[in-house]
Amino acid sequence: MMKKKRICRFCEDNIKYVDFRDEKKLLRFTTEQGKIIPRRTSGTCAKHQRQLVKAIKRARHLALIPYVSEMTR
Amino acid sequence: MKTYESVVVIDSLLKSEEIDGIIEKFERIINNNGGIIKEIDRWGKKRLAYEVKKRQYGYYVDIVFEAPANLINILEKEFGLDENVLRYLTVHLNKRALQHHQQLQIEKTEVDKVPVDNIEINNELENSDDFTDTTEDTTEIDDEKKPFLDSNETEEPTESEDIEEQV
Repeated sequence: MMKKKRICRFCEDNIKYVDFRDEKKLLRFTTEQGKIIPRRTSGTCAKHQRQLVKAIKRARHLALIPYVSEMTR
Repeated sequence: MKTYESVVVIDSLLKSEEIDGIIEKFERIINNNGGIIKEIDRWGKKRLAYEVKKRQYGYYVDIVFEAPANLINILEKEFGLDENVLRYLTVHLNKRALQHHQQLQIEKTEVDKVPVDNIEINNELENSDDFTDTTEDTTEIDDEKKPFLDSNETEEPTESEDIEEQV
């Protein structure tokens, strides 16, 4: 599962603002349970991880993304 | 005057006229208190990720507006008081966010030309930089979903077999 190269996806795509409305993109950075994937596994840089975490938490509040997925509930 | 973005989730069981009425009410509040509405984006009826007030679906509306600081208090109070509003979120848009919004709008207006070019460029980037990475991810996602489906399917037959044996 561990990748040798760890490259930040957001830096790669030259994204400057992580949008909380883009639920598909945010779901890619959460586990099946709905937990936020840590930086050490996803390889996201610190700058973008901070933005990402904020965006995920906002999206959760608006019920765009689950706090806990239905599979584990 | 700062720019803000409010996303409001309205009860989707209401009639479309009632939903329009609620949105108009918020528009009026913004206009009457010195705010300027820049954009109203209706995402429409969407499935909620979890139940809110026993509702499975919500009607999402996104309002981008300029406002003096005291308007936010008034507006948020109004959101909270309205029983048909399931969820609301008001966010201040900083420079980066504004740039992002402008880009999205440009892409919307130039539907014919820009998206095609973007897609081509993205594909080139993915192919050239990390071909292995992207392919791995797509397979991972598929694998994550499939086992669940398979396990569910396999569980049911075994249970039925057990019942038959007992009988």
